[in-house]
Amino acid sequence: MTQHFRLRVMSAAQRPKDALRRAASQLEDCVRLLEDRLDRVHGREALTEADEELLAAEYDRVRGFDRPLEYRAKEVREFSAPALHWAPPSVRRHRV
Amino acid sequence: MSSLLTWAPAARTDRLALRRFQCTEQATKRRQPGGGRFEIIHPAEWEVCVQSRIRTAKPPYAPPNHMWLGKDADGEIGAAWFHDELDGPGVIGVRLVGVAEKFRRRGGGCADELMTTLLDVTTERALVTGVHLVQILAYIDERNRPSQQLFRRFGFHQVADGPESLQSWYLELLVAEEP
Repeated sequence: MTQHFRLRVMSAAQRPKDALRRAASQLEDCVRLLEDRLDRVHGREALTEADEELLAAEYDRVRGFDRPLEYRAKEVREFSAPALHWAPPSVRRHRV
Repeated sequence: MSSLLTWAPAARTDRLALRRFQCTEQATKRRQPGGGRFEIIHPAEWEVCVQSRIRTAKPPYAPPNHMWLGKDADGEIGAAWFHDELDGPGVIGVRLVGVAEKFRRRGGGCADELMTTLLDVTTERALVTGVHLVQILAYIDERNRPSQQLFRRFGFHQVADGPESLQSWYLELLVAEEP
């Protein structure tokens, strides 16, 4: 009897949660649909693998990762010990 | 300290999982009038660039390049970093640091673990190769506050502005007394 009662209470407690979950998922679908439609209206497209390759190459180019290691090492050394008291590059050149 | 992720160098078998790595929400693009370039539509476009760089990585890497991945209990990639040795293990450039979206916004636990492991790995390699001081440089986008805070927590300080919208962050890691 107790077990039966407990089950009934549990299922009653569960019901609003399930309804909420269902509503949330329906809302998410609606939002996704609206976003797709907006994207189409504004001429937006999803990124492709080729776009990601381009972005990755751009990422490396901007940071100078495509330059030789020696050159980049020299750049890092410019920030070493004396640079603990940091100064802009122009001032640093005069110090050297 | 208990680990959230298990860390290991990236292997060839990780390539497929890397292609699915997601550290930010979905981005879209809009073609600019006249064709050619496209514009990314995303609230944090630097995250899209990092994600693209991680997705297009082709492990395994041999020194001077190092890519490490942190995986959760299900073997899913939770975080990744890439660094290269610019002049042996004493001069390091951090190229990439990325935490999967699933592990973000949890008080920085995963990101902190990533940085700790990165510094441990570089320290270990320095000790093995007899280097007493490691110089580490990283570039962070000026709008990327969480990463700036993370690097500051680990002793980095900003040493320069640029190139473009990036800031240069630098750390001198003393791993042993000078002989």
